[in-house]
Amino acid sequence: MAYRVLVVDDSPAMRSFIRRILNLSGFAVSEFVEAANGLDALEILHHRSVDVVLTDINMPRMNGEELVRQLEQDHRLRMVPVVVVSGDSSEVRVKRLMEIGARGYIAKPFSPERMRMELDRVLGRRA
Amino acid sequence: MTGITGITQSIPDLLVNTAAEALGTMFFTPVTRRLKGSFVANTTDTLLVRIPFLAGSQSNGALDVRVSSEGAQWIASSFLASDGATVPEYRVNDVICELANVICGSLLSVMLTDRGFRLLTPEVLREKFPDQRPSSFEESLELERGWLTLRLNMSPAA
Repeated sequence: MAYRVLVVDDSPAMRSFIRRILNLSGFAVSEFVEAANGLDALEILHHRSVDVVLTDINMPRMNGEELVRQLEQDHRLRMVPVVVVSGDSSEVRVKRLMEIGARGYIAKPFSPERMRMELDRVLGRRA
Repeated sequence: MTGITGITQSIPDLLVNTAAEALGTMFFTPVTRRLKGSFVANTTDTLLVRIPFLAGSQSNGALDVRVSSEGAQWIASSFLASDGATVPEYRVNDVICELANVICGSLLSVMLTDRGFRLLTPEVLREKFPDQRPSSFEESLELERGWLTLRLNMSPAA
């Protein structure tokens, strides 16, 4: 099965890198959609279906934490699993993100294998 | 420096190991050796990125990452898989900002794991490497091509 992935990050280089890493990991992607912040991601999600969201935390306009909160409060969008991809992997941050609705967490730096493992776990739990 | 718990290695070693792991894992740029001394003193052909951070009410600071032009181009090319093509300056800047973000986040996640912190937006600086403060740690690394210097400044919040 191939998945529709939405990547939310204000860095075009990082979005491009994640696309490359997904390919390297062997994770099957049918659609790769990009957003530069949480607000743009919400706009996309209101008219387009995806299977998983990968989001950064620190972004302008709407950060990743607020995006997770907004998705969790939307009865339709709360089904979409969100995986946070961040350099901040402190215990307090990971705990807070998971408490408000994130399904997974990938700490930077990460390898293709690490990303694949977390996506398999998150999407497997959903199936 | 207070409030830092659970660290099993010195801050200079942590700085070096964190940077080496980030460069090797995500930026496909192995570190060849740790350099001694202030490697940047006589060099002007470099890129300097600063990422400030807030660490609760007790302290704040910044990580400065200075990379030789050759090193910055090499890191960006590897990260973007540009197959040796010259990467435009704005993309190089974007990649080195991301590198600073990854190193700083990873470093503080170890140093301040039970306290938390907030990374601010990294920026490219056009100034010279600032004078080293008494409370800063500086380490330089040789890359496959070029070199990189890291300086971590932490100070009590005002």
